[in-house]
Amino acid sequence: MAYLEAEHLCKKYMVRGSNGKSFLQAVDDVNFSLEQGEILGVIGESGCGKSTLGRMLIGLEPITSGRVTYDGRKLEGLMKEDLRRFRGMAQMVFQNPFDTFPPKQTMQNILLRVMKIHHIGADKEERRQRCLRLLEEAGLKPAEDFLNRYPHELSGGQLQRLSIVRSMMLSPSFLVADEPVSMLDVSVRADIINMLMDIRKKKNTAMVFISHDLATTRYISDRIVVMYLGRIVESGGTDQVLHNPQHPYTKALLSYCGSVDPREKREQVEVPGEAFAGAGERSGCSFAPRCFMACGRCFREQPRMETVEEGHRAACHCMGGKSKTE
Amino acid sequence: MALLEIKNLNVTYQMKEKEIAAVEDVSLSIEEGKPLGIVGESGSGKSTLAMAVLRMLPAGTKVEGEISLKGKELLTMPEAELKALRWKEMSVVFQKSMNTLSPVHKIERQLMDMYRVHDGQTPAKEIKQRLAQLLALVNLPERVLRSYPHELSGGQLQRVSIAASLMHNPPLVILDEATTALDVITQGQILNEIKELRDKMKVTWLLITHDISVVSSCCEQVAVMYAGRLMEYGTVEQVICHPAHPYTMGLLGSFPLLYGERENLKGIPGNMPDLSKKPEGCVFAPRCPYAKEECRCGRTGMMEIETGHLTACPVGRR
Ligand SMILES: Nc1ncnc2c1ncn2[C@@H]1O[C@H](COP(=O)(O)OP(=O)(O)OP(=O)(O)O)[C@@H](O)[C@H]1O
Ligand SMILES: Nc1ncnc2c1ncn2[C@@H]1O[C@H](COP(=O)(O)OP(=O)(O)OP(=O)(O)O)[C@@H](O)[C@H]1O
Ligand code: SF4
Ligand SMILES: [Mg+2]
Ligand SMILES: [Mg+2]
Repeated sequence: MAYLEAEHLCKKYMVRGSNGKSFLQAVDDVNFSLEQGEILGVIGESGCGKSTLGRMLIGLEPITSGRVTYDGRKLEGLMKEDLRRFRGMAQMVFQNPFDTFPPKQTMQNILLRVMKIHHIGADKEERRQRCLRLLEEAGLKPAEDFLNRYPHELSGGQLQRLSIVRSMMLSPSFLVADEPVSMLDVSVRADIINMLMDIRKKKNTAMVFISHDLATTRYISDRIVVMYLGRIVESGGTDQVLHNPQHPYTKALLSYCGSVDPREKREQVEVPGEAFAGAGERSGCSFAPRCFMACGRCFREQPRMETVEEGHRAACHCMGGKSKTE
Repeated sequence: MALLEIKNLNVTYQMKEKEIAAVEDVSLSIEEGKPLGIVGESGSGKSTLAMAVLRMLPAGTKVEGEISLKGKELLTMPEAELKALRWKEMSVVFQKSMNTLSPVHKIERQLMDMYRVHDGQTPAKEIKQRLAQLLALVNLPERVLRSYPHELSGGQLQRVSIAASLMHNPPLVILDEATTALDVITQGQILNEIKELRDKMKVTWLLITHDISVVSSCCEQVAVMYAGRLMEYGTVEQVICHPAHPYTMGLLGSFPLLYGERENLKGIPGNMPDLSKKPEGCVFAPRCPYAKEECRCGRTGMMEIETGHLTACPVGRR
């Protein structure tokens, strides 16, 4: 049994449109499992449901249907039994390091409060010492100096390190990192990614790393799932997905991935229009209106995930050059 | 004559207790038809430079040096003359330009109003035709004109801003992180559209971004900025394929690659210095893996190491 399992996870939001209430399917039948110490990259365009999925996994968003289990135990049960313990076990790091901390408090106050709430350390001094050690381990030296600073006195990269330190204080066994580097400069992204990999190595923490950038994700994830409008369209080992993409959407994403080398010219896949996360029922493949391979069947019947090779699956009717019928 | 010529530009923000040297002694020029990209980390002064060119800096900011557009000196130009120049001679697109639009009016009405500010003569019918033409250039259907801003996606809105910036055929368009907030696919498509504009509209752009791949795909010249100063300047080929400044090398090394070994993604350790304190020597020295004694004392100016390829570093030079 895997450490974390998501089965048929769905999230519907009620939205008000011009013609009354309707539902928006933000996450649609998502399935995956994660072993202890494994890092799963979740890739997709803005609005495809990555954050919603991340929040559902750690109980920050009610699940519409489907289930999440940790070591075979249902999320709802774990939360009901001991919410504080569950929060200590499953943590999240957010995209914007500039507004994750209350602005008018020193880092010391912020970090010590978390420890106090979770009964870590006997007294203030012990908590402070622990804090100093954690900061040093995270490369924030001299730690003393950082503890006395206010959030606005720190750079984005430093704030994101502190945000990770805060999440890791409770030694969680599962961490959702929701676009933790998207708002940071390239020059400090490596730092944060290396820090997360280091944590995984030392603590064997399982992680879901959410990103819209395949190239960045490749450095940290063991496996990747590609999402489009709430559904997983492709999943597999990082190299499987990158070197042998099967779904037309994955192919498109790869073809638009920027390269620094001006001499490198990638053939770009045509993807007309934009993802439309509209409310209401959909029939067929949600990528069909933009897909360069779409055939009649794509508009009628939703493709199911099919195995391409061991560990590599994708949901497309026309995979592997199966011809355009009709 | 260069389209835009910047000479020894210094921009200093005046704060309550301190002065922030956001741009220091930057000289650059843009030739017609040779788009320039400015790259650098957040806070390196890219937007400040653009705002200086547009003369849109907050009142009280100290600006020294010379900026000329087609030979006309911008910094000393009277406000009225400058107003006439904006949109017609140069325009700008920001990351979230369309956020400034009114939510209660349709796109068409707002674009027409914008058009009329600089040209009150043209009849409505002609303006409408022109707008439809402009939208087509950025792959938008005409019906966008009849939409309200909230009915459009981020990518569509950004396309509308780009179309609007071209309304009066300016020879220079400044794009400040204009595609940054968009999805990879949408960004890629818009960059392709921008590239096509070069031939269709004879427009040259000054493109500001922190993403080197964007510059590499749609500019001819690159300027690398760090902590308000110019580090390296040259053609895309010179700077990106044969970087001479350790900061450029660091930036290139941090860029994640889609293929190849993925063992260690390297960053540039350390942080940008406090811009209110003037350092001795090279601003990058505290983070530079190649820094020598000579780097820490005495400033070096830009040196030409090959025709058109300039670097501020005396060490990393080939
Ligand atoms: N509280 C909510 N009520 C209604 N709709 C919501 C709510 N939260 C999210 N949505 C919608 O659900 C969809 C998925 O949103 P989500 O934030 O999970 O996407 P995302 O992949 O994280 O996007 P981004 O890359 O922009 O962060 C979007 O269409 C969004 O508008
Ligand atoms: N109005 C202002 N008053 C004081 N300081 C400012 C002001 N605007 C910018 N700065 C400072 O000037 C420096 C350069 O900022 P600028 O916005 O030009 O950088 P940038 O390269 O465009 O960064 P980014 O990539 O984040 O947009 C920064 O240190 C910034 O904090
Ligand atoms: S199922 Fe059809 S529409 Fe969907 S991705 Fe495959 S080819 Fe395209
Ligand atoms: Mg999100
Ligand atoms: Mg800027």
